Amino acid sequence: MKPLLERLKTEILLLDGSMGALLQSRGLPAGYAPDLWNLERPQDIQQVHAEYVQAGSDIILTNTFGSSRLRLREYEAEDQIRQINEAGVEMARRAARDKAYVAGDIGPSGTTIAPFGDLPFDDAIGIFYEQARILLEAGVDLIAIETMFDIQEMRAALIGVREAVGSRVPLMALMTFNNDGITDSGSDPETAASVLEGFGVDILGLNCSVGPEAMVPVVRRLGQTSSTFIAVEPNAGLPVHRDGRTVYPANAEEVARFAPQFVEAGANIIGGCCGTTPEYVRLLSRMLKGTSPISRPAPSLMKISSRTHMTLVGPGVPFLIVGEKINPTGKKKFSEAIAAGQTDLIVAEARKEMEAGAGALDVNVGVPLVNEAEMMAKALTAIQNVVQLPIVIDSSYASALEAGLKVYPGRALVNSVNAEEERLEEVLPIIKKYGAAVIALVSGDDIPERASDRLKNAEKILRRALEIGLTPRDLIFDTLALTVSAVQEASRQTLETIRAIRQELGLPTILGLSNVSFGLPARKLIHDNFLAMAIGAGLDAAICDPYDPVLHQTVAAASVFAGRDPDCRIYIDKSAQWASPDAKDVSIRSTQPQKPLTTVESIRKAIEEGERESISGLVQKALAEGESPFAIFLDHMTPAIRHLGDLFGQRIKFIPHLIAGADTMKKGVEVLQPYLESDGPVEKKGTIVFATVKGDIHDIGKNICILMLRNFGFNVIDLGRNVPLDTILEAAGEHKAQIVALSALMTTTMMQMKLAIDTIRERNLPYKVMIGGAVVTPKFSDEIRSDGYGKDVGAIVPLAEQLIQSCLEIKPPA
Amino acid sequence: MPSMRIGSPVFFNNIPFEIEERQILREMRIPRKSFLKELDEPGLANQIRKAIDEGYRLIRGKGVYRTLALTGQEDQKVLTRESSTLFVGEKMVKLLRYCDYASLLVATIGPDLETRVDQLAADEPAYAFFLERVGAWMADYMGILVDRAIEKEAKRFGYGRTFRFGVGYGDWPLSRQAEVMELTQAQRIGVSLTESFIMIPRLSVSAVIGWERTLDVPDKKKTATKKDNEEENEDEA
Repeated sequence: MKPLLERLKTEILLLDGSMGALLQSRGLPAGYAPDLWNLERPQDIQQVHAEYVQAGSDIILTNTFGSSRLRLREYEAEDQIRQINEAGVEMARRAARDKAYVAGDIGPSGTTIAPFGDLPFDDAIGIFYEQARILLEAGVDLIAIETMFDIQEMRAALIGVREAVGSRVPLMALMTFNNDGITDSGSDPETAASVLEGFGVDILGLNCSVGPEAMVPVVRRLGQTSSTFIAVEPNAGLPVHRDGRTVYPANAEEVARFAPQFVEAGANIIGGCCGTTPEYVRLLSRMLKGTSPISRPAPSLMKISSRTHMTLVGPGVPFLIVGEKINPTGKKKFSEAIAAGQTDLIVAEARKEMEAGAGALDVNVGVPLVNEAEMMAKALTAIQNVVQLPIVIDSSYASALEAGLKVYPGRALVNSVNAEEERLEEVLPIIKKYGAAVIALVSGDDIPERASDRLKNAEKILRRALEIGLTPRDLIFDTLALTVSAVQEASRQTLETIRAIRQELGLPTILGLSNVSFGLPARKLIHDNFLAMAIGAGLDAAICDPYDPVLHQTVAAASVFAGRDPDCRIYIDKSAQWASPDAKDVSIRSTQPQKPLTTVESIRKAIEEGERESISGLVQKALAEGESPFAIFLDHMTPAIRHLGDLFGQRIKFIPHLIAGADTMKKGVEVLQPYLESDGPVEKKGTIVFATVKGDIHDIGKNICILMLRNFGFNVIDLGRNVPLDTILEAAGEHKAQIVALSALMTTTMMQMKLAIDTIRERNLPYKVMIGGAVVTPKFSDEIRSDGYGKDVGAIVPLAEQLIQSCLEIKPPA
Repeated sequence: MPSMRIGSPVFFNNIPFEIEERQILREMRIPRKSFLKELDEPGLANQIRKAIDEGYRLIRGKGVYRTLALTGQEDQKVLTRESSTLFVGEKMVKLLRYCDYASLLVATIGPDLETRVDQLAADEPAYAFFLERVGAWMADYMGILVDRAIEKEAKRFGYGRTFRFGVGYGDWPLSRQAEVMELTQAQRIGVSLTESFIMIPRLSVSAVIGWERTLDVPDKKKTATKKDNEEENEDEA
């Protein structure tokens, strides 16, 4: 037969349909592994394949979807992995003869892959390697990896399969997208395509999970972003469960009628997944035999991606700002955190860079005596939990680059390789293995002065990259921004190199910008201006300071002139943002009062608005202005917090407002305290012993109630959480409390409240008991005969005041 | 065709997440506001913003689910091969009456945020409250992500899903929590129980979701059925 990839240039080819549907009709019990029939009922397997070949399938998938070691283990058949896979290939080969290609079918491992899941990445690679090797040795014409929900598992499969089969047979890789056009792991079609292309798959596409209608737009998006051959295998609609069986509602005609739309969207191979039959393939054959695929332009730009987002790099698309801040150089705290294996600061910096407008993040964790490989994996795992920007993995050590690439579920950019032999040999195979892209420094053993020599280094790196199987789209060249104050001519040569690489090689360029301004004052001015010149020369990306607002303005303005911003839309949008008051931090707005207030009015306002940062200064200022401490407390602070309580009652303000106000007042009272107590201890309104009951460990609500009560002058003894009744009663006696306050959040622990009330009554103790907590209701409160129920923090002060008042009306026990 | 993961736990480590201001404001019961910048009180907004930023540093989302085949029903119990004491109570029987499978789920944000809240509780109770509310929503969020994974898997095999029923809610005793933890091997995501069956970390969720034969559920049948008398194909699950 003519080579598969040759035929795909001019023909639409057909895959087969569902295997399970036909095996079930031959008696395969629900839940039984179809792969085991390769040994138990080989004739049935061969007959199903034959039906598809007869119907017109050009490619048939071996019955080995679940024949990896891990999947077979579920059926205690892992020891038969070779026999099951070989038999699968043999049955398919017998049916295919010279009429169809046999694709060795590999499905998911059945578990989740690290770092998102449980199975170590290297173990996953090994599992896929083993099955692919057996399939290859058994004589398949291509390998098909299919029904992958998670891009990270697909990456492991591609690495394992590539290691097993090299380039000896074509490789088809099919992801599964949901109805919304996104995979389970959050990858959109463009992102998935960028990762799959990075591994150099011959055919990419999608199968399973949804019917044909939802797949058409995904095929179209794949066709628009990639020139790789595309395969599509829809289900026969969304399944329902009926009479103990999974039923696919669409019939053959209903699925097949989408075939022309698949072709028009860019598909090269069409088949079917769950619920499709030989009849469906027969219809496809009638409709499509002799049809040619549409031609799709070859993509020319580099793609990098995270798990969920793909970014294009090159001429005509937005300039890429790569944040440079995740780098310990010159940062003591950052270095110490890395040395301690902590990722907190890294994650915080990553979020900050993203919010500042970085389009990708350079991650460098190089600290002396730190295991950089381990730390790189840890840092990238932490970052990708909270930031979905593409990552630039930056290290001098190949081991750290590889460790980062293992855990990174996208197409990373690696920083960097140069023209030195040793570095080329060390780094390029890693780039190839993990489907990454790489920054190529145009230096060799030294940094050439002349642009022409830098270009020669670039040509050398490109040549070596192509030899190893990389493509030009895997490379971006760093033309080296040298310190202008030291060698002024070098910067001119840098700009020349940018022009030369674009003109001679047609490839993108990047610069580490900050180097250029070393040793000069007003450094930002220098590198922002140099950046504008470099963008003018054709620069596509820079590793730079994303916190510099002028840099963003420079990029936006220069992009208008560099053909990166059609109709100046990005510039106009961004300039509106620069002028918008919404862009400013809320704290800035807060410092701009609308009208001048007196100091005590400001104190009141601070409490009402929860301005805890300003209250101490305001109280001190009021004292300095001669205000009485008692007046500040009684005439300004207390009315402010009461007013907030009133607004809470009217549902104008809510619990967080009350809490922020109470917290602000507490800060203010701390300043007043020495003055208030200068004439002796201030008389308290009453004493409350407060506890979360035994067995319960929730106390956040209790703590907030205590904050409120203390602000209102109560003496509150906080006993903490999970407090036994005896401890509560003992404390109440010791502190001569009037009120015992109990909190509970669990239905299982709230009965402790009843026990407390019953005990207090039995012992005739003089305490009022008030209760509250998420599970406590007024009804429960009545049932256990508590003295008061606090619905929420807003109710706690009036309730305590009321109970204290009632205590005063009762004569204390002798 | 995808494989149904019955019997063995499926683990999620390092769950990617986003802390949405809208959800945090909702968790704090501040109505009609979607963004912090809409708050009239900048001090409060800054505190909540700080708690969200800290949340990004302290949260490590993990989850696990395990799907069990339901084998029958007895009085007020739904039986599985693994347990006859797990799914008990009238509400549970009602929940699972049209189900062939049920997935147990446990999700957590890890211990770090909670430890920080405890450290802050005495001196900074207000900020501790804001941070704890961020954690409370995010524990729910992790549960929702695991919930969605279960829902997608059920859907692929033609099943609908019941609502998520939390351990300790209704008449499902909190004491069943011990079996949920054991069957899901929740200790592998760092979740354990106190003597009173409270999960540690506290900011964790546990629940069950039934895999429902939608066509058998009277009020769901109409929407699930495409057309009557239509030719259909079968496939193995």
